[in-house]
Amino acid sequence: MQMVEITSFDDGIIRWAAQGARAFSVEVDGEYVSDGGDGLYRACALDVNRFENKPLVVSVCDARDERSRVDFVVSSDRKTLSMPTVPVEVKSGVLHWRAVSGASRYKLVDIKQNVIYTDRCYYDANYRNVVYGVCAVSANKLIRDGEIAHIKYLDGNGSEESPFIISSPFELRAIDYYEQLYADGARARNHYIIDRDINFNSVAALEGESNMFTLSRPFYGVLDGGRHMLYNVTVGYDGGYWALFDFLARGAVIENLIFSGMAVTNRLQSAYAPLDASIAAVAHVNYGEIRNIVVKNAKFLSGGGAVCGICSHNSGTVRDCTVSGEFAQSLSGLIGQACYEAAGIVAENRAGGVVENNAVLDLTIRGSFAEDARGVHYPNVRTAAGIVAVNRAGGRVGDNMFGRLDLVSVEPQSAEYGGVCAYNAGLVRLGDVKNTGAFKVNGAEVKRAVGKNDGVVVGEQCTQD
Amino acid sequence: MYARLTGARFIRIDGKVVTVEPQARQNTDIIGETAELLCCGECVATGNIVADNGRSEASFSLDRDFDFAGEYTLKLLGSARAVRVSKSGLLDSAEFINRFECAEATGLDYGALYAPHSTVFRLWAPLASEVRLNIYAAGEGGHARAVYRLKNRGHGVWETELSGDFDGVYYTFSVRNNGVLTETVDPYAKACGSNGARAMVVDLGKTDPDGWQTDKRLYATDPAAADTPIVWETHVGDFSSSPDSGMRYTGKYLAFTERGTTVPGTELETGIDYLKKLGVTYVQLNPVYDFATVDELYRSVADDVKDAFNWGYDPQNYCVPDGAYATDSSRGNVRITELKRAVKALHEAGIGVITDVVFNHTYAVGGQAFDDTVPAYYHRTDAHGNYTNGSGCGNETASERTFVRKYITDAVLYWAEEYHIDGFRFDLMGVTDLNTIKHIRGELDKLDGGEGRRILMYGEPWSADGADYVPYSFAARKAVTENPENSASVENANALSDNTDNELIKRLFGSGDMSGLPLRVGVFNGDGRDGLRGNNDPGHGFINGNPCDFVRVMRMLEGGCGDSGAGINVGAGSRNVAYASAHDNYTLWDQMIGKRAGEESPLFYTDAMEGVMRMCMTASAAYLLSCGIPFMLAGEEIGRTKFGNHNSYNSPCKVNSIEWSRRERFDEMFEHYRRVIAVRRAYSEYFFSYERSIQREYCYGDFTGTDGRGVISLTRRRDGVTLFYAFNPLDVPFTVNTPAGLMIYVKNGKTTSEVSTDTAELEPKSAVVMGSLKI
Repeated sequence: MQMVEITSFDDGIIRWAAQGARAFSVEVDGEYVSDGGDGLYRACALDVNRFENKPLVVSVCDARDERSRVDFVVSSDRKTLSMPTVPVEVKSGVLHWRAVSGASRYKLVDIKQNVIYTDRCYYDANYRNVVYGVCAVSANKLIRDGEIAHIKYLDGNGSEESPFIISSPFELRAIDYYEQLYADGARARNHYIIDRDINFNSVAALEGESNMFTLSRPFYGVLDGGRHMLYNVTVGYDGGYWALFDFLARGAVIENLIFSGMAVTNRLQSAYAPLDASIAAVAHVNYGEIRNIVVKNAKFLSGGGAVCGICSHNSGTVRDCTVSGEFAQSLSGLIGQACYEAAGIVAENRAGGVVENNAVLDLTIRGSFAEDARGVHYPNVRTAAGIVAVNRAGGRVGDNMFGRLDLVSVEPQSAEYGGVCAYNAGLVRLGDVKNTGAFKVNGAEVKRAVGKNDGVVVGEQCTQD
Repeated sequence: MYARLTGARFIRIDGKVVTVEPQARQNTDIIGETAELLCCGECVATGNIVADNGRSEASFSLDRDFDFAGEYTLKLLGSARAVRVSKSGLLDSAEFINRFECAEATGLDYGALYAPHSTVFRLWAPLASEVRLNIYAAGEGGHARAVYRLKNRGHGVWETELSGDFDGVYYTFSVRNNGVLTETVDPYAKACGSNGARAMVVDLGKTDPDGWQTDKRLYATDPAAADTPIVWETHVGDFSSSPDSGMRYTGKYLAFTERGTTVPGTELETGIDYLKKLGVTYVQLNPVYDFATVDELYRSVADDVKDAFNWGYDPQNYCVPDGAYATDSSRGNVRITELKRAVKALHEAGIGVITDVVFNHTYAVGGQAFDDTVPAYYHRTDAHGNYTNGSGCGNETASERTFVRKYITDAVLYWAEEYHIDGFRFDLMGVTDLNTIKHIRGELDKLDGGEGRRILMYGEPWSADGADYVPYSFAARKAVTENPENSASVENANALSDNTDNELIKRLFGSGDMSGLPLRVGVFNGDGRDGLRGNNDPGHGFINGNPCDFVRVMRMLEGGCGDSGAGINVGAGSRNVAYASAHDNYTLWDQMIGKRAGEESPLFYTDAMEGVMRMCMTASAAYLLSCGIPFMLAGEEIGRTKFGNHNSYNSPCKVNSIEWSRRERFDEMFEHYRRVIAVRRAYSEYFFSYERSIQREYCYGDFTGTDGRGVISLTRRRDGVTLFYAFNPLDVPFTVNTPAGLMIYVKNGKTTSEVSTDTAELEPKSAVVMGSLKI
């Protein structure tokens, strides 16, 4: 098979050649063009100036061999030829597109702007970065590569009235795509809803043993979970931090979502793996608002670093969330003698951060004992609380409550634990009756809402030592 | 039963007599034996093995000139077993130098020399008996679609010319050395495919981004800024890989082209806009040449576990940008264009670009271009032919050898000319020899009609193996080529081969006398750094617990640097790279916190502790107001942390990336840095001009008022302009006498616009900076 070759394009006249061809089949915008009245085209040139002044989709092939076909687009100014755009469909995380005649291969650009080439007309993005766009790569130097075709991953248009609809684990990952479009200025602020409970068992575990991926692009939009549940989520990784969202920008909202039975394990924390370690269900860093989130029966096992239910570093607002489960520091991954933080809601509440009206219903925080080079054992949790582990100056914590809160195998002598806040340099406002849950440290009942305090505590500590 | 030879190497050549050192399990077993020297299987001479100074050797008289490309083996007479004879011991011989390092070879350009109608492929491979050119359709995968034999045009030069337009064609060389054919990448590759295993022929003109023709180095567009170097060191990936960078091209060259970026949802600038606000004049990029350890084909995997990272001090292709920072590593031209776009964007922002060059070692010895092309030539060896390890990375390059010196010089000039680079930072420069550094400086000086002297050049003056050790091959080369004009045996006297008065930079540094170093070659002032903030234990220095270490800080302020022992060189300020933190070792924030990895939780490092900030600000004022080149690790000004990790060379992005949102908590410190930088730039022509700091007197100040307990008080006056600064490293307040009526720029960690009186009360661990100019 000999592909038709475009040999020149000057002044709107396209010329081509194909070895052995006597007649051609030429289509312009889907209409056959003939120079002999029989539907065939015998010349090897086409003047596109005679057509309407708009981009034209042209196809040329040897009339006897459809495989010789080449498709291209003529620009409205009649100065350039390019490959047609490639409409992409997404099914279960696999991208499909129609073959473009004359394309040598296809170029995909992923959400991190990496370029990937493929000869096929499909691409499985389930274990790869989300694809930002696809285009056809031309085999002919006179024809430019196609424009990047954007992809429709989600139903809805992303407006408040017609939000994007998320129904599967892969569709949840597609948030990164639309947030990138927003950051590029190509879209207004995005709204998303989850329309059903999502079972993450449908995602086969990877090498990293994870079936949920971090959304790595900054999130600016509004995600309404519709009180639906994400369940059977398992994450296993080696070092560093993990949360569903890396970064929630100011103005972002995550609400009405339930994480049920989520299991996250940071397996390894060593001197060369990142020490910026933390685990949280929703966000690593929050400048936006997280509200009405339920994390229930969570099992978070950290190999070092902070572990908490909702957000690791909060500079925004976390309100009306509830958490239950077990957060633990493992023995095996520990380095040195550091003592780590654990809390039900937020690990670190920074200046400007607000944590209020949250509830920890039933939480066990479990430490273990690290061994240093000399064989001395140290407990690895010394700063632990029901709501916020560390409240920095300028941070506000108020009107939260805890139910059952057990701190097990933690440093018994330290003052840095409390039913609400372990260390406070900001403002903690204690409600009237909200801090009165059962609080035990190493089996002994403790009556302390705020541990070490270098800030302001308003209201009586409802439980006393 | 015959004794068994385990190896052999040539150790001398004198005319047609060559001497071999045979090796056996017990050398005494082979003394007195007769050995046969074979070339390509044929016996060319026999010799008796004798003992000499504890080792065995045998001399052979040849009936023709020694064939350096021959495949030599050695066997004991009557034995069937022969061992290869290494030629590494002859690479510093006069015969080798005369034959292969002559002008006919050194005067040529190497690599794929592209022209639209044809491409010349040329390789220097003096020990090779055959060289092939393999042509590929892609940078990885598939078989060679054509193979050509290169012609030996003498003096070790192999070449062929192919007609046609070869732009975008991938290629390798296969080189037969001592009978073994090895496929290797071209040492002079200018472009390559993913992971750098194949070079690509490139029409460099086509890689230029729009406007590249008008892009100029900083000294041409903003001479004042160029003459006030303030260097901000970053890794390309660190610059943008944090999710709070607000950048689109995370981890890529193109992140430097993004403008108007902020921490998402805030007004806090990131990227180039941030740098403009800070006021630094140069960005130093960690290696951007092609390095070995990051898999460029594995970057689109969703799982964060595959977060590959490396600083890049593992050189693979010295003249090719690394593909991991490009959007498309598989097409060799993309990375070139994207790096040029980054350089251009920085230039447009009024910022010069310095690159980190790591010529002191290669990632590996075998499996890389140098050794596969000319075995053992590019690396130093000891008396037994073993690779020496001045770099601490397993090998060290032999910069004193002609073609190594030529290569390093060619590579530096290529980056300067093709990529418009404004300066070069030489990693472990102590491993490199003085004459090579002088040669490079001299060649850079010639660029732009002599303006190239303004291209910055500095490096680390130390090595990893101690200052005293001199590799055997260095001494051998020096002995043969020192003062070659007067040498009877070496005929090729030129700057590339000259080792007159040569010395390793590390030994100059160790001797405390850096006066032989060109005035425009700076060295990292490790002594000033340690004096300022302690060693990497992390230890204590002037500002963090050891105020009596103030003398080293005073010396740094005046541009002095050198070893901590006797013979400190208070020399030209232009040699002084003053700093408190770099990519190696702890960040300044972590150093001031003073904890080793694992001693504190990550959250401990995120707290903007006022006392620690105060120490950082005071330390920064000291080096930022030193004569010479102030230098800082990116993000130092916002308390950058690596959570106590002092060697994060292959730690993932999550520990290495710059967390831009940190500025929100460290804004006071950012403003302090910004203000002191503004002071330096405002006073540049009086006290901080790099050009003028070449004169040592220009750098001197008046330390009257300095207190023996550690408080430093420094007044500098010139042309009616006064600048005064004082540092209190003590744990108690201290009142210093000050000139009255000056504008106070910073005091006790705060930027101010007060006017000075006769005294200033310095809070513990704080500084005051004041002067007569309004800023």
